[in-house]
Amino acid sequence: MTMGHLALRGVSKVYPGNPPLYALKEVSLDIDRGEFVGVVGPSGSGKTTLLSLMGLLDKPTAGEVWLDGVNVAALSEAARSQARSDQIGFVFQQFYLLPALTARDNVAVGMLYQGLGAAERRRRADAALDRVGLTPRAGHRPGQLSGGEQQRVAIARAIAGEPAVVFADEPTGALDQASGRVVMDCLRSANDAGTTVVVITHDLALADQMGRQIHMLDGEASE
Amino acid sequence: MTRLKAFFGRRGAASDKTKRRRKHLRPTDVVATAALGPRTRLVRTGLSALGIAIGIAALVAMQGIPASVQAEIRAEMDRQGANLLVVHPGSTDMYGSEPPIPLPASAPAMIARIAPVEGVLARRDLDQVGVYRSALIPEGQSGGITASVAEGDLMRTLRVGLAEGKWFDQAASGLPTVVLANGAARRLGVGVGARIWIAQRWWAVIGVLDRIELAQEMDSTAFLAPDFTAELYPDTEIASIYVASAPGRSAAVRQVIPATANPEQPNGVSVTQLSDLFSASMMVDKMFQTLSLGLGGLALLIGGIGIANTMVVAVMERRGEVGLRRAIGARTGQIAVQFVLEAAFIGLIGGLLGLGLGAYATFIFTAATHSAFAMPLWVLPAAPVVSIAIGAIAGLYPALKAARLSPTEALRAI
Repeated sequence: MTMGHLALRGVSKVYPGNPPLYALKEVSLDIDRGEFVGVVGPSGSGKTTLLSLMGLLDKPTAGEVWLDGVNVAALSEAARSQARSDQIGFVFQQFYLLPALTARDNVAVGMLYQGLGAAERRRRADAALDRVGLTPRAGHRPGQLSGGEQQRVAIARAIAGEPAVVFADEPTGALDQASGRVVMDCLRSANDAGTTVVVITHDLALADQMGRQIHMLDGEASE
Repeated sequence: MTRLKAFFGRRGAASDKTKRRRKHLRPTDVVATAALGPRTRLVRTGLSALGIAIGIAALVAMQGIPASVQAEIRAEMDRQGANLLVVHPGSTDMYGSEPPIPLPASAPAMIARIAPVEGVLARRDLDQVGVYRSALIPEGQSGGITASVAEGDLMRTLRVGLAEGKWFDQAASGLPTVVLANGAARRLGVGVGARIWIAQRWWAVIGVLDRIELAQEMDSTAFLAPDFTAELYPDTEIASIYVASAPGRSAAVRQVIPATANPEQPNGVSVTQLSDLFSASMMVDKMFQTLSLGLGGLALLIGGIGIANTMVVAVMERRGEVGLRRAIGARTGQIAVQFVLEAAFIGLIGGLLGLGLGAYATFIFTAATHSAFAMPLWVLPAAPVVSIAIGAIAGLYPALKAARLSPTEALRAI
């Protein structure tokens, strides 16, 4: 059986408690390079937990997570951090931009832990801002940008380091429809450039636009 | 094969791309990252730095002000002659109820033989003798001028020069001549060449001294010719002996003076040092300094707690930032270092502010008291170093708290 670029094998995640919460139940799936995948499901279905595990933010209770042929679930915390910085980009519903920095510097921060020099980070940041169409706003701070623009800065930050995979957790959740469309366009163009994009959403209409859908329900995945 | 595998595989397998990448932040990035938080919240940074600033300022001022005072005291002591000892007839009875024992006539010569002694001056006061401008002045209106005989090297011992005329030579010593201290000359309104009336006869003024700074009690004295006076008043006792010793040797000289001056009754010799008073004032300064050190330390402790408090709040507020940084690849150690450095940075701001404030306070103090500005040089590096250390220690707990946040936990919280 061939393994995808990103592969989960029997992955479970249990949060301890009384009773324990089974957030994921033996999920196995493969995502190939360049795919545009939507993960849909109601609140509490395990979408975000799935993203945390695929994005190396958390370790599974059981099972294996393979990225690029490496079982990342077995890696140390430091190694997973390094893998995140080199291989993965994140886009969050709340943007998480640093308010004191300009759009360009916010994008550059995304590459901080890759060990690139400041000039190189800035050069790539400008290129990424150009890709999301925000070059004219490069010198603005988040407070001076609209929600949609802020999310596009966040997308630029996620793609500037040329990650293999970008995970977007409800990227349009805090935006109006028009802004949401522009944001999705940005993600799609990143995907067109070869980046694997995984979007988590509870919006079925949005998921319909994606090449592939994974449905989550009660911690189980289906297609 | 692929990037990740190359990265975590054996060294030889590393691709060009992974070779180019470093796992560690550059020092400039570390500093810039740490400075970001304090820069973002200037008011809060300033206020939390203020506690440290006050503490450091207090400590700096407490180094500077006593140092300035001590510099002033040293200058004063130099002016006053720290090496000058004054020997008086003393009482063997510690309560001073017994009459003082006269100093033997041999005492000045004996003291002069002590090796580090550079100058000896014996003063005999003619208490009953008045000094008058002329014979017409009524008896008793001598204007407080004392008639004395100075034997020895007055000018060398008391470091005083002549305003005009000359000191007694062999010839003048046997004639009715007088040398006036500066104050006495002014009071009498006479100079060299004048004649004044002492002990029912005219005396010629042959010299006028400069002001005697080291022994101002002698400034209104008329020094009578030693040989001539000795014949008139053969039994005058020695009132005091001034002893100038080599620099730094006065303590040693002081110890041997009693037995040298009066071998039979060393207890009957009293020796004082002009600098005694200053030592006492320096001791008071020392206590003042210790107290201030305590207060400054307390201010620093409170300042440190203030920074810790600020950092705890900062970490709570910036969980999202912590989560984001973890998501983009920051390791736990890098998060901890960021927050420790942030706290150290606040401390540094406080330290520099405090250094400036403390130096300014010292400057104001010295300007107001007309004393010399003095600041121990070690304060310059010590103030920032201490404040950075306090900041870092204060930031340790919040930083560890931030670092321990799991990425998912940190990102969840908003």
